[in-house]
Amino acid sequence: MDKYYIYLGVVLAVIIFIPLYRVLRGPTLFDRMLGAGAIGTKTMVLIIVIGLVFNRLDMFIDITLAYAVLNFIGTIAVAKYLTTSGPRRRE
Amino acid sequence: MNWNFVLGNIIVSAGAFFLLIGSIGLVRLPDFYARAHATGKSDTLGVMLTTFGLLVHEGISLNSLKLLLLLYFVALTSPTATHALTKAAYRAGLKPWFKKDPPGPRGCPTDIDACALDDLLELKEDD
Amino acid sequence: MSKLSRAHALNMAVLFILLLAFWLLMSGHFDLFHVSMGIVSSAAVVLLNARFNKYFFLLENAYGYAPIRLGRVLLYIPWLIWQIVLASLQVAQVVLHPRMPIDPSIVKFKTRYPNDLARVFLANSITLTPGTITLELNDGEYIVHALMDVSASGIVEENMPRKVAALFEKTPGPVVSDLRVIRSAGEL
Repeated sequence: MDKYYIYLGVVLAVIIFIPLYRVLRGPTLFDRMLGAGAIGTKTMVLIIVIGLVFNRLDMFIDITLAYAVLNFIGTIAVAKYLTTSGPRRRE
Repeated sequence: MNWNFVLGNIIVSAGAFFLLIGSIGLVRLPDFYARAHATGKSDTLGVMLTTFGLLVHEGISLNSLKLLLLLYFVALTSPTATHALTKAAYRAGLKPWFKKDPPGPRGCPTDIDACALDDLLELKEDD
Repeated sequence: MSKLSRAHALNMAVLFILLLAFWLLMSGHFDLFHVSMGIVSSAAVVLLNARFNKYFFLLENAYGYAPIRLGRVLLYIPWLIWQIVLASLQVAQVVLHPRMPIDPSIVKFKTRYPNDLARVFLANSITLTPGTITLELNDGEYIVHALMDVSASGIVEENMPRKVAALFEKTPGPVVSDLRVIRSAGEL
């Protein structure tokens, strides 16, 4: 039963690679941002699981919280940038 | 074998399943707005379930309070981020895909405007 | 700085308590040194943001909002979580279906909510519930993307908008008006 979280971490690492297709392939910039956000969300879970494997949950949870904030702010910043400087502005 | 260990593992597995669904949906669904459904809902529930499962596994401690904070934060920010991105796309003129529409050129699932926007933002993959 | 109003002072107190709780949660040390450092830094943040705090928590009195009914909110949150579970199962079923039976549509409608809080409540709830995402929200006018035919029905039948209105009023009347469902790019 102790190995459960190691296996879970491996599975999550595989799951993280799937949205990478969307980031690389597009077709629009928004799809890429969506894929990047999805990768960030799953990475959060992976970090907590790694913390459980190493028995240092207290330390890794702080990292996860910081990562969650960064992920959110990154998405919001790009969305804000794209709303203010879209193609409609150039007309 | 503790009951909270087993229960926590079951909930975490369910969360991992929903994270997998979010990933597959992101690749399979036809256009941006439909993909936003996959990340906006499945991923949110996946993270909430995994965090809640670890909370059950951990019991009552300072760590589980932090996990609760993370749960709250994700539940609050995930729909906001999805909404911000879709709003940006809608304002930029990205047309959603409808069932009646014919498939666009170059394998682009939405109509011509989506590809035209891509050219405008200079993010084309080929050449 | 001029004289503090009562709501302003209360806002500052609430912010101070929240910041201090966050500090204690993150540090995990409860000895005199760490707690006093937390008090000093929370107070510094509150004082630096003193003019901001006028508009934080007790907006209701400042703008004449109807007070939110807390009992209803406590009932609403489990319902919302249950809706999130249903939504995710629905999306999972669609994604794993080999032919992907999706039929996207855009729903435009207006609401008569008196305040921003209700609007934000509805917008976030729509984004979290089965197959619908809020695309745009302008002065009570919503534009919503629905993934399937079934998913739009919650809005067309006014199920959710009424539930949100019930958070603020005892007997909510009709909420939604000017409803329009768009199913092809030509109608946009």
